[in-house]
Amino acid sequence: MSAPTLVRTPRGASTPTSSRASSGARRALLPAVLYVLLAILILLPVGLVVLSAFTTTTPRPGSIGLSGLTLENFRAITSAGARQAELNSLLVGVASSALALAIGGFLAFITARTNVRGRRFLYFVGLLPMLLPSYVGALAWSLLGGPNAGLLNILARDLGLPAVVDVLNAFGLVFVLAIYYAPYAFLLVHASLSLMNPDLEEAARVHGATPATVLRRVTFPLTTPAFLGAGVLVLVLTIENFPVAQIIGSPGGLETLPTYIYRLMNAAPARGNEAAAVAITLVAVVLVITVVQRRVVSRRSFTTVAGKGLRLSVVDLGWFRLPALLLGIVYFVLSTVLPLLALSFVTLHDSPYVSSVLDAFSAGRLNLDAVRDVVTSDVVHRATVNSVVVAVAAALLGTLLAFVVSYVVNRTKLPGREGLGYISMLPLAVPAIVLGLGLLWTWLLLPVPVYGTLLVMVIAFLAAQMPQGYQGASSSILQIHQDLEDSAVMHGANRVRAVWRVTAPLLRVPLTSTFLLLLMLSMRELTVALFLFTTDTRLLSIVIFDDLENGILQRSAATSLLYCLVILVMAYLARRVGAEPKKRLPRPRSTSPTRP
Amino acid sequence: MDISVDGLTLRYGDSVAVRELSLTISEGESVVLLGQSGCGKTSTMRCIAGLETPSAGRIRIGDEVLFDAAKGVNRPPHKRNIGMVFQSYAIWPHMTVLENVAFPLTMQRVSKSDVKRRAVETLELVGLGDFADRGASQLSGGQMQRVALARSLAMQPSVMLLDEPLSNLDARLRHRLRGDLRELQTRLGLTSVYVTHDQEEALALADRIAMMQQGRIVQISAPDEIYARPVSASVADFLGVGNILPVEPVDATGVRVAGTAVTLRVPEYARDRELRACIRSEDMALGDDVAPGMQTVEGRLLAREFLGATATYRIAIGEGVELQVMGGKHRQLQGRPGDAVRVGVPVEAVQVLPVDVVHPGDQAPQDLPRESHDHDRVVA
Repeated sequence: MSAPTLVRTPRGASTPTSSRASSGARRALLPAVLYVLLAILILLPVGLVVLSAFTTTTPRPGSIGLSGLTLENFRAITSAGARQAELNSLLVGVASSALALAIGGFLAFITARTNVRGRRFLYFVGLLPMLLPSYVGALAWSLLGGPNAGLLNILARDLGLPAVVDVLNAFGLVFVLAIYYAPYAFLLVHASLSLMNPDLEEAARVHGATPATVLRRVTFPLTTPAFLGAGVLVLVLTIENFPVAQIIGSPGGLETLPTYIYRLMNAAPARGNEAAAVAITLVAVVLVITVVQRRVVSRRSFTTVAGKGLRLSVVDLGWFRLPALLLGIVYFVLSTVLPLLALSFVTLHDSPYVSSVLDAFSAGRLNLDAVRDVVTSDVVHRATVNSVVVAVAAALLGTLLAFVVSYVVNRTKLPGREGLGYISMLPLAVPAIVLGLGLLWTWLLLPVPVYGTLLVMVIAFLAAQMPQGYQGASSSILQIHQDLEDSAVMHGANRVRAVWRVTAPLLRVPLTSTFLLLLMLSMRELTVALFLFTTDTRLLSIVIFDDLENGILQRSAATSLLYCLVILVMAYLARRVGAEPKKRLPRPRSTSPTRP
Repeated sequence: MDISVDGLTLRYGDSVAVRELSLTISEGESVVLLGQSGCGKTSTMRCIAGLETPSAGRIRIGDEVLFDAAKGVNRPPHKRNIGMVFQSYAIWPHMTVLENVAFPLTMQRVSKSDVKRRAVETLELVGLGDFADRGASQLSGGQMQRVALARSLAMQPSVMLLDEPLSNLDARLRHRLRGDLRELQTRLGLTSVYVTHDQEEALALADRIAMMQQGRIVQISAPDEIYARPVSASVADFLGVGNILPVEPVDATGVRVAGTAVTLRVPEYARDRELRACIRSEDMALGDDVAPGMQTVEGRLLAREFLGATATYRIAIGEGVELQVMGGKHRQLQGRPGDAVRVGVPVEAVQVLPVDVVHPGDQAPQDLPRESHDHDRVVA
């Protein structure tokens, strides 16, 4: 065999090289396009909310500008009603976060590190409520725990007992928020506990600590960052949560900042400027929490992750093995079983008014009429199609946009790339209800006829979910060693081709999970779309909420069940289609060895 | 093909990674860029590859100007036809070995049948003919390195760049592959640029070694030359010279070891502000091994470290000043810590060098006229 000849004119040697100036302009083109996109998606809506807070008119075509500058709107935030809402938001947020953290942390600990009975089942229990949108849970609990017509109270009456429960108050709100946000805490703490480097604990054992002392002095302190991170995340989510507060809180007159904004917008005439002023307060609260979190977490990020999948010691719970399982089952019943039963019961009951739970079974008052109504209902049909179309489109475009943006930020030296990252993360600090408000004004204002179409929904979801998409795409891009792509370029592929042939295939699995995440988020999203829908563009989430608001309880419950089913099917299908590993590739995620 | 780099400068914001670096490599030559991490060696290589855009300078390979800041020429990396073996090997885990090696050929739009034939041929060249259909993630480190090599060879590059090609391998494998690599490079007449921080690797692989410090080449010469005559104490230190002692000039062929009363006879040296006497541990003799007439220094034995084939002795010759002397197995020193010892220091084994060479790009390295004759200056 002969050695390859090494004298060879490089391909494209005769092509003229571009001049500096034009290559500079070309370099700036991609970031410029992305800036324009993100500005329209995110900055403009936020900007319009700020503008409205300081002027006397809300933005609409022909009437936008700095005329009528005023601070008058901010009187709204010191009114008695607003002050009460601010206080409620904070108290409910802190209390429900603490409870969610306790539930999630407990489940995470017993499933990650102990010999509790039914470990795998409990892990499933910890994650399951994530599939249930919080407002479906809230709807179910309002059916279960209403003071008079709540199913649990009716059941108690059937059994000759006094009323047992009332969730339509602050305590109920804290309870419902906590059980539906506990999975977030569960996930974060579980990851931290199960990826911990076992050496750290073994070192403590060797140096004389009992297993209990190891937990107290080493294991738990090492999970502090995860706890803090989860706590702040849940705090932000609960403070900005609109639908649960609306469903559980409003009947009892309990107002939080998001419901207060909603009320101002739905007043006749709409008090948009005041709503904007209150919205800014809400943004400020969330922003402060986010900044505090960044500082706290960045200061205390202990590098404990071993990531080698080493076997961690298992804590023996002793007599507590069974009680721990029972506690997990209580959570399972409260978060999933009872709500689904309640939704099913109300759906199957022959009239929206339930006078006795036990009689309903004995007197044969259960039938499938409501189910049939829902399944054949044009409204529900259309909403289902709308939901699926919007979710798929938003997830696809969102993943693509997030990939391009995070590629530019993480892998290029293009001018202005850091700014793109910051803008992408901005919606995290902007509560959905505020973003919805801004999006409404944006798309009324822009001379593009998308308001009232499904496209505006897609746009809204793109904006709202940009942070999650960007984070997902960034972390997956950073997993792939830069050399892998540079190497393709050195071997003759141009940059776009190198991304297409090497980076994108390697990122197939992580990008698929980003897509799935966005798909799920889009399927559940309610609040951002709340100001944007019209009769023709209602989504499933909106139909459920709307029906509940209008007292059509049965259809709301039946749609919720259908909705859960659609989400389950989509999650299953997407996973099957997307995560199927390529032929002959044992571990598609593996990357090259990292530099020492 | 030959490479010519002229006035290359690479800035990142305020920091300068490469300063006005010039380097000529002739066809078939193997040049190793050697230096500590952060000295600019990898940056220089990435500039040649086109993965970094220099702030100034010119890069030419053969007759092709690849980069010229003044004329605004900057050929993109995929059109430079330069082969590169990355430190991480960057073997694409989603492709088979054959697909990895065939990639550059596909990019060159070689016909399908030729792609297969040439890829297999190249794999055989590196001894991996049987591995063609293996998934790339199932390879060992040494195999990955050879796949990376084959992938670059397959494209018939005008030059090869190898970024720490052996650093991810364990010591024994490193030894063997180093020899293989050198043999292949000479056999194919590959113009190669290596980057490494391992002096032994550099000595074994290079026709010429370019020693880099702070973005500059401070010395470039053949391995034996650079080993025998480093231009500065810091280069000597990097090349594994065991004893680097601060000294003060006494006369044209004498220095006093700072902090001691010891005066050493040395070959003639150039005066500089801070001088160091550099002596290899293996060039000195101990006890009975000291030849008659050899210059000697009295000291006290501090410790002996047995290393198998050799042993290293630490000997104090003054307050806080130590010599490290290597003795062979056959001439072991009998003695306990604290004993007085005589160390033989041949005059020609001592090199008196400046700590650093300043701006070697501007002047010949050895030629450093300095006015300061301040004998009293105590060098720390």
